[in-house]
Amino acid sequence: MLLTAQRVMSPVSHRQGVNVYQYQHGPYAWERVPAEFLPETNPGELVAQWIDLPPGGNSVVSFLDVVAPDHIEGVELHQLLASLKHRLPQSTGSPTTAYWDPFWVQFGCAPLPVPWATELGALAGHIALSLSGARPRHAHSG
Amino acid sequence: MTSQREIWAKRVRDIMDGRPVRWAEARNLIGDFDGRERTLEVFNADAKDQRQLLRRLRPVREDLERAAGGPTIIIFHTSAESSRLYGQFVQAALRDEAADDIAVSEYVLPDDVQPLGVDVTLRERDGANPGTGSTELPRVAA
Repeated sequence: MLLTAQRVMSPVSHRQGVNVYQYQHGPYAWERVPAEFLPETNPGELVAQWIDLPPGGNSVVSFLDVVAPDHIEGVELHQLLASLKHRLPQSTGSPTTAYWDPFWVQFGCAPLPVPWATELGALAGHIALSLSGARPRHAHSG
Repeated sequence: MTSQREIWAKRVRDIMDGRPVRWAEARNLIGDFDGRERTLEVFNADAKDQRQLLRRLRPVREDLERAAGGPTIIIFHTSAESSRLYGQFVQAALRDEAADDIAVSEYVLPDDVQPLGVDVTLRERDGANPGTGSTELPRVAA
């Protein structure tokens, strides 16, 4: 499964929002995320999306990708999301990637008026609230 | 107004990488022991991590105990026991933390922010029909 949150801004209206996407890979289990399931190679199939700002030409100013087995325990995933802002070391390059078996994480961020960890925590929070049902779903099918 | 004890519970939560933390309620504790009312519970803390987590508390332990009114006892709950016995509290705590993280990140993006990419419209899987959802990332290079 790939979970992605990205903060986007409309180049026209300058409205902004955070859109969240959930993809599935299938019933695979692993200790370490196989290279073939990393987002750039195979994000999986999109099964749900939580849309703040309808996509299509918006600027992406930050994003968080989390890859995990499809059937991971919810609480394990939510704990990882809560821990990210404390544990993911800030690297000089962007994006920052890390393996936390059985997870893989990637965070990219343009220069923003908030600390790096604050933005990371916010995107992780959006994923957590989306999955827990606390965020309304606005499917936007293309 | 947030009490010193609540502030310290959140501070210890951050020191523990975002693991849920709370002051133990007397009714949940068995036996009479000194420090009963100064007991902090830390959840989702597996045995392999507990020693390191305790070490992290050392620099603030004196301040913590001053705020608590005396020596503080730390009780760790493993992930399995946290889910089995305290699932409701753990889920609520992680959800609250996610909501806090989102709330502190409400800011105005500068108009001249350099985008990392551009978002694209995707198609969500049609119910339980595999192969009908998009298999691309929700962003492409700017």
